[in-house]
Amino acid sequence: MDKFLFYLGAPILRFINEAGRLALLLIDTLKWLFRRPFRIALVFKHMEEIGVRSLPVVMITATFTGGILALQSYSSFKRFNAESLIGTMVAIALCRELAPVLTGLIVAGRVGSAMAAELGTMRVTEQIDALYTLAVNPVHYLIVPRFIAAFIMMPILTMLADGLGIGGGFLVSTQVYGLNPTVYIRASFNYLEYEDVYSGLIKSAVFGLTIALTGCYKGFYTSGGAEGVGKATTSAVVISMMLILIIDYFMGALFFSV
Amino acid sequence: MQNSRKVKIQIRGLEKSFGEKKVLDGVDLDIYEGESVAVIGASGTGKSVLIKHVIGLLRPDNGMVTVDDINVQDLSGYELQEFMCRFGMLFQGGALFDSMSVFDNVAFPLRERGVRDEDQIRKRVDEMLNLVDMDNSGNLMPSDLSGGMRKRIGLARALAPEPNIMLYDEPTTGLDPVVGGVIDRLIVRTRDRFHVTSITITHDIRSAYRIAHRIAMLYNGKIIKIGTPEEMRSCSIPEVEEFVADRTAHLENNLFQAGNSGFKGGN
Ligand SMILES: Nc1ncnc2c1ncn2[C@@H]1O[C@H](COP(=O)(O)OP(=O)(O)OP(=O)(O)O)[C@@H](O)[C@H]1O
Ligand SMILES: [Mg+2]
Repeated sequence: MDKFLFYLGAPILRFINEAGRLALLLIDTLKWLFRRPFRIALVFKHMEEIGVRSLPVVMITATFTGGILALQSYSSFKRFNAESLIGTMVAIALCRELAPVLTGLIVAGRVGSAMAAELGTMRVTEQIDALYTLAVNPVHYLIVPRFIAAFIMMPILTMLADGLGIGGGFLVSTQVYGLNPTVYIRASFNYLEYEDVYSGLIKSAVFGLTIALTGCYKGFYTSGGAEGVGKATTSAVVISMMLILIIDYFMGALFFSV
Repeated sequence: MQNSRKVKIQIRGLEKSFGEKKVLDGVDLDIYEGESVAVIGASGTGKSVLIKHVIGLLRPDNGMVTVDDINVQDLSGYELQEFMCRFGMLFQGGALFDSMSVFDNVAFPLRERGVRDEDQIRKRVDEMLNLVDMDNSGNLMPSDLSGGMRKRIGLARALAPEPNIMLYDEPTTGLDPVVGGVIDRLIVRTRDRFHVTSITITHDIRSAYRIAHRIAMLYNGKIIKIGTPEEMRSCSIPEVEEFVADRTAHLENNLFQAGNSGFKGGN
């Protein structure tokens, strides 16, 4: 019985412990967010890194996702003679869900892991301690700029994914199925409401914060040398991907219930 | 040392455990202003842990550390950052920022403390690189450097903003005797010229003799002996005696004998 409680209790305690430390790091980050000096140059550097790392993958994923959406819906929409609505379907599905979530998952894999690896390496080689002894707060210097950069870059990447996905759907519908381009474009944008777009963008900004926070958290508290860095990197990706899908559900429920 | 002098760093009843393992078990140590103290002890006895408490990188389970009568544990946020400006620390592995060139590493604390004049920064960085005998290495990246070079750059970076207290974590370990000697002289020079208070962690007893006013021996989580180099030499506590005896001479002797017998065996 004791053993049973132990096996049940240990993971729960570990989870509470991790969640608590994550929350503390979030509070610390928010506390340092508006303090001087503002490291604008660092924010731009990280924005560039996020862009360079994920842009090609995001572009390819978005285009092909838009394309496959059109391809799959054509056969079913045809049964109702509703081919003209494919554009609407593709645009709404992309803007609300697919573009933000897929972009989030890609950025988690590319950028979240890089953040965990960078900070983890800095931790195990005592560079984070060195920052501290040089009178620079490590959260202020390392985490805040990444946090801001991810917050800004995720919606930008998502907008791009929206556009490219719609483009992919357009290409498939007009070139493969020979739908009328004007009708398709009108269908895409006539029924698309602002809310569809901005709800997706708000979600993506939250995903950005989630990715940066998890990546930085895992890196910041790395221990155990190079092996520890590897573990931190993997678990940063896994955790932020799960968090993205969970947050996506609850934010979706929130947006579309009102 | 002289009791009239002001106590700069006071460590009282410091205890620290990691999990089950008690690393520090009631460390008491006073360090006077302008004094250089070396802490010696075997590998893994908690020497690094001890100085990390002085600088507030680790929090004690029990006991306290005060610096200039300020309790390090009480500070946080901006206050702590302000307070850290008094310190410089040389890390065991140098802890250079991989993403920056040598120049930017040394310039980093200056820029962070609001020096904007690039000419002034360049001058200071060149001066520091010259001090550690690494002229013209500004454009190299840390990955291009050997362990000893990294340490020297780490020293230049720590000294650039003119700290009041220096903490050296094994400054000469892993260096050849010549460079080790250079570093020792640097430490002595900073001590004497800038009146810097310092704690140096080392395994190298010869280096400790050269740089320290007093030497403290850490053993089993406690300071078992503290005294001037002469006092350490004549100390009769076995642990201290063993450490203070010239271990390298002993080793060389052993090796020599092993080599000899091997040679004979071959005959
Ligand atoms: N952050 C930490 N978490 C867990 N254990 C630690 C931590 N830091 C140090 N220790 C443990 O404390 C003990 C003392 O470590 P410390 O690094 O102070 O040794 P040291 O005296 O500096 O040795 P060396 O001369 O090899 O550097 C070691 O056994 C180490 O495993
Ligand atoms: Mg050590």
